[in-house]
Amino acid sequence: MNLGDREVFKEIIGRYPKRESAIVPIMQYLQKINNNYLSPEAMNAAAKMVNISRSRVYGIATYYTMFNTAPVGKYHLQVDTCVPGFLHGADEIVKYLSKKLGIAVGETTSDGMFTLSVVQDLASCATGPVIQVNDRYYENMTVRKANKLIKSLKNGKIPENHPSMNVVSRCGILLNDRTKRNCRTIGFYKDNGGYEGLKKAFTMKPDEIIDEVKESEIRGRGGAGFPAGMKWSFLPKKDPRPVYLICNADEGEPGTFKDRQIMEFNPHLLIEGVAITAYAIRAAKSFIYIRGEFSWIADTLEAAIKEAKKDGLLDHIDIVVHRGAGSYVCGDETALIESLEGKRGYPRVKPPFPANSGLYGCPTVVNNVETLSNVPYIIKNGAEAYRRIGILNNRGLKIFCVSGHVNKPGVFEYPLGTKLSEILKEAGGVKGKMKGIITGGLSVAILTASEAKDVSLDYDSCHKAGTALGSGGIIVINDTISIPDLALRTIEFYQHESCGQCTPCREGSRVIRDKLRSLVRGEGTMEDIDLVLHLCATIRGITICPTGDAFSVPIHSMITKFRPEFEALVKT
Amino acid sequence: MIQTFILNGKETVFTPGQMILDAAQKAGIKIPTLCFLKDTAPTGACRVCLVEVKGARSLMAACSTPVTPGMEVMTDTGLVHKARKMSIELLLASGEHNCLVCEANGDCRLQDLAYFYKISNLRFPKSEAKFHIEDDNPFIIRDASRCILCGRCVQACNELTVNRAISHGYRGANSRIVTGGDQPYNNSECVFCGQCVQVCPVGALSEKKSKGLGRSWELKTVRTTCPYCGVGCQLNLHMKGEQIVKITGAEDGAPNYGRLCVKGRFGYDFIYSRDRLTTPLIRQENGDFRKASWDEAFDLVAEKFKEIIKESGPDAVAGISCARSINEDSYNMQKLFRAVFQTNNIDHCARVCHAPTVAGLAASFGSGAGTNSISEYKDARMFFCIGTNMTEAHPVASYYVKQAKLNGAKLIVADPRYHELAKMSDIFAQIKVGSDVAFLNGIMNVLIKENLYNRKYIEENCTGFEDLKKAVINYPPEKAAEISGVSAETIIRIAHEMAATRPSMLIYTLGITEHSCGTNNVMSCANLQMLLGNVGVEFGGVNPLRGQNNVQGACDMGALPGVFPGYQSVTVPENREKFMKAWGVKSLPDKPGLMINAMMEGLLSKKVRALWVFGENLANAEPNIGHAEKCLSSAEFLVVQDIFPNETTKFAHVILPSASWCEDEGTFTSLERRVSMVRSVKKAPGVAKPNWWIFKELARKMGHDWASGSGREICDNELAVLCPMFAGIKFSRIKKDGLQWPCLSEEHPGTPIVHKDGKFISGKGALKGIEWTPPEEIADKNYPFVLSTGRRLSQYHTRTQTGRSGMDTIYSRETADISYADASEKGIKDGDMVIVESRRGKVTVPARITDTVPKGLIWMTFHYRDGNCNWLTNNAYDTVAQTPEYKACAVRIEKA
Repeated sequence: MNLGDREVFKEIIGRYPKRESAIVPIMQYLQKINNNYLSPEAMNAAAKMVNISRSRVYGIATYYTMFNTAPVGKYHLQVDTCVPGFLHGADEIVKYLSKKLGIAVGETTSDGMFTLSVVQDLASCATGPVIQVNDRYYENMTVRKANKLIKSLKNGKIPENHPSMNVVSRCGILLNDRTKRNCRTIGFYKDNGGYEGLKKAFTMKPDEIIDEVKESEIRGRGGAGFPAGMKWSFLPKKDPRPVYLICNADEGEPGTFKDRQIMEFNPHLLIEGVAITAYAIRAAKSFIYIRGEFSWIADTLEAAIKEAKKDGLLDHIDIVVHRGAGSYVCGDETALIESLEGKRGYPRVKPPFPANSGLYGCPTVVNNVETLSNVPYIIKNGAEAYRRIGILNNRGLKIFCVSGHVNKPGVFEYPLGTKLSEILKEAGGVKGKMKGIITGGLSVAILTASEAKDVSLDYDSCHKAGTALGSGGIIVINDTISIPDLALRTIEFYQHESCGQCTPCREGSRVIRDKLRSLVRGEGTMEDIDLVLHLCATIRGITICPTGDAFSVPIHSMITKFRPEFEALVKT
Repeated sequence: MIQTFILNGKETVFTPGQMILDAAQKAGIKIPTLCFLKDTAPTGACRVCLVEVKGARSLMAACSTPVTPGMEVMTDTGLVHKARKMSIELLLASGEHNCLVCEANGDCRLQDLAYFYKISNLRFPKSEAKFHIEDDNPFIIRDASRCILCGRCVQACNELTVNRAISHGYRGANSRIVTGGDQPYNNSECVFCGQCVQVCPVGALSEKKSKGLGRSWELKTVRTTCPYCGVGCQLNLHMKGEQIVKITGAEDGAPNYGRLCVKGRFGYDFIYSRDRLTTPLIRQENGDFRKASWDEAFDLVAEKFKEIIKESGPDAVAGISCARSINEDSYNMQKLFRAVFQTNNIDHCARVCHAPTVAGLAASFGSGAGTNSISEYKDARMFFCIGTNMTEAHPVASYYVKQAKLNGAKLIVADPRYHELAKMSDIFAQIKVGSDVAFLNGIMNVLIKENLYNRKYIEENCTGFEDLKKAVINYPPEKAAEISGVSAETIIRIAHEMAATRPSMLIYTLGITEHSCGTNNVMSCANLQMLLGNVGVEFGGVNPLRGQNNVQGACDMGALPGVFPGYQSVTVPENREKFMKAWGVKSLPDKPGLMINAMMEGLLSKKVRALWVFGENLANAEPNIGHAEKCLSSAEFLVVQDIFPNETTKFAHVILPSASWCEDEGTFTSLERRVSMVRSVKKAPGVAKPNWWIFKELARKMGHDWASGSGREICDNELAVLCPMFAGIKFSRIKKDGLQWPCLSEEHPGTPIVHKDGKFISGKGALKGIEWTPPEEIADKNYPFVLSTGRRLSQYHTRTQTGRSGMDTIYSRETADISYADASEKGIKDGDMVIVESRRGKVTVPARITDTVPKGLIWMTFHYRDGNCNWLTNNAYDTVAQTPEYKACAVRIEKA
């Protein structure tokens, strides 16, 4: 086993106020330098290094999907078969790779070159199918491209990834011109008015900034839509404990791939948002918790932080990029905090809320990437200017992600309140005949084509239509897809991601999956359909975190709205 | 102001911060829960305690939702029951819940809830997961297929006992409880405290020894006190007839509140051993023992003692009492020696462990016992632990220290070994063996020089400051560093930390006492705590962890050569008058008697012609076994009273069979001065008898008729009457939690903290300047290693009890613990047989290479006859208390 470099460990441990937080990065490092394999010896070494128990390390290693506790091939091919991938033909890719390499999913070729896995949601929904090879993405895959990729890897050549998708920015605030080679640099950012918000912020009192953000009426863009300024004002006043700011960059709701557009191409926008917010809430330490699969984006962020630091813009705040290790549930703010503390991503019971007792028991604000990226504009141009975008009670703009059956999937930066039909038109129109549509990421209720007709993309309109705007992940499903298949694919994702902490989610998702599986196989009964409905209705609202709702709501809607499709599968 | 909320339509009182579950429970409304575990942070995992809260968007978990004034809570609605029932049904579908063959049948919360919700058929498909049953360890059966993932075991392991062997593993429906590497308990960090078993609400974890012995409804529970270390844990014995089916920690009992260690929970079956002594035995001419009647044995003992006393005077006989047996036994034994034989030659094994504590703390404070209580540990702000391997020798006390540490308390550990507690510490001072006084003087030097001590406290409450100052001034940190091996910076840092965070609790064990300077070590600890003003306050004090279950009690009972029960000196005429009157004798000896080592030497010199050994395995436990056995074999008449034949009974002329723990009723006194009840649940085997009865009968044979005919009568009618400090301790008052002495009247609540507010029992605390002296024997060219000795978690003393309770399967033989550096220098690999040799003997044992011991140190124990460290240890003694220097001698080590 490669024991690694002492200096690297020291640097990793030095990033965190508490040693235990270093456990995941240390395990990631040890895995990376040992052929992508985390051996028992490596786990014990990691435990010793941060002085936590071996069982806890093992609990962490088996919780996060990116840790390989069994050896894998030199190239670990991971195909995303979650709903958007499925709609884009990911199953074909898996079938092809399996045949080509002569191995089943979960197996490694006899020469130790390739391991084939299927994974759940890589936030590459408009550019699917996607194959993740070790820590690189290969997007817009076709059978032909996959063949070329394998050939290249066999020859020891790691090819470049050339994703292509539709990017439209009506507002020009969050999405920049990514066709420019230097779009990620501080020079480019500043030339386009970057960091002026921060400079202005420094002339204001922290509380004035909070008031400004409050007045902008911006709501959290992570999915729940809670007013951001209000969240900040919940922090206790005159508290001796340090305040932490955490940016939630664990983008994981299937159908959502907006945050990565900002971080990958316009990283300084986020850094500026973090810097202003940290100043406003008096935080001296901030973490950007980014999903581990986005490793190259994390590198981009770190480079941007370095640039901004060098430019003297971050004297008031230390920003640490913390890479997750594969867990959907860590998108929940309290699970994210637990994860950042070096634990399994188990959501906490609330109260207490993070504002009072978050990271290390200290006051903490957790905001989504997109939310924080709006802050520079709000401060620079004022709340009033921001309020002029969007509609009443739904101020500002939003990046809408469109995947599934449209001709030109991609991201669309539009004011809130824009008609869904307008966005779909911008996305090249529906491919074939629309059967249903998901407006806010996979966890919201599906709309039938007729229900979706007049929906506007804002919190209230979606709510009125019986669904939610959520994270703005729009998934279009046409009539080639069977809804029971879609439902099974949906529950498979959440069942896979359920952290397992609370009974209804852990066991309920498993039972629903088993029931839908037998229905799809033609082995189900009418009672099974009703049982699934009963479970969905009962689970809703009773789990520790929103994951219970995240599957019970969409599954319930799919069955009630497309019941004949399910009944048709019942054996007679 | 009284605050209320509405519970099922009724106005109900609550206290701020209280959770709904607790408030409802107190109001008589029981809310079911599977995951809630007292004294740990609620996880809300099972979702069975869901209740309706008016205005809330969804059902709320009662275990983790705080009550607010006016809140309307409903626990009994259709919505609530629908949700609860679904969770129960889901759990039933999640594994193999077959009650017919389950040990938990009748004592299972899942079964109770399934019954309550009338769940007769499983609507949900069963999980396909297959789990194997793990039963390859001696104590615990793990059956993951019965696990409901409530997480209570994980909380017990990580929050209650802080042994941290298990965690949640994997995720979603694949979740299960794992050790490091998902290995069986046997091959993990598990220390078999079994707390996980106690808290398991279903049958996923069960006691292996209990399997098939009895169903829950057949069992009756009897509370008693643990027979192992001095912590004094309260146990519930689950009895079927005379058989202990299992033991659990008493959830409502101080000091352990449900917590136990491996010995306390699983080390009970020695009482059923076939090896038990069942009849008196008399040695024949040919050296073999023959069975005898009690009359015959008593006649022989009485005749022999009479004859020797007549010929050589009363001081030619001597007795050693037992620190494992109840107080009332030690009381009667010393009474026999003092009142009947007319000698003060009575001692017990505190001599070989904590006698320096008794002597040192009595000199410093006026009382020779620990000052504070275990219940303070969990909320203490700082600990200074020196010479204590708590996690192994006093596990349950260590749980609280570790818990406090996790909750933010500072922990300073000073020890030659980097043991488990050291690994958790904020500052670890790896002191050289026997350098304690110099090290402590170094800290006090800094405190005085930098004016960081508590001047006001000293001025008001203590004497001798100038004397102390004069001594410690010669120990600047640099000099202390040179002697102790701890850097001057660390010594200064410790002084600063201790000055900054007050009070701190000083905890020590035998690392302080078992030295030729043991009493000085103890007084140095006392000096440090007085200097900081840490004595007589909550979360402070000097806290010696007494070794055996009743070693505090045996001292209290006057099984010591200089004091009557209750530390009343034999040299004070009024004390003798009082006891003469009470015991109906015309005289009592006024000169302190012999201590154990003098008794042993007396056997050789024939000054002691008869020795009565009660429950003490001298042949294994004394230093320098070769010499000890020579002494024993020269005894003219040796009486050994025990529950088992052992290495010492071999030398006896008469062996008397005793009733053991669980076979007699009486009291133990723990290290926090707590007198607790010990109850009887079975008859002694054969004609074995209670120890107090044996002494009483022998007295009768010699013409003394004692009135008290039970433990209760001795306690209530003699101890309480004769000893002011026990005046309020009556059997009727200690049915549940015991009382901590001093307890001055029947209304007195007992004394958790002595010397309160600096009001020392002796009037003023006595500071005393102390010079460091090295151990009697130090490493040299011929014997270049230091040998230090101690105890291992799963074993107890010479294994007479633990060796008959399955503990050998965890730790099966003695080893020589050696550092990686020395092992590699000597070419020794882990498990290689090595010869360890001192000037007194040699043993051949496997080497155990560990990061616990530093270079130059070998560490061993006295648990096993084979490889016993006492073949090597030095029979050098503390000058005051005559405690042997078990902790330091010189050895050499070679590959065998």
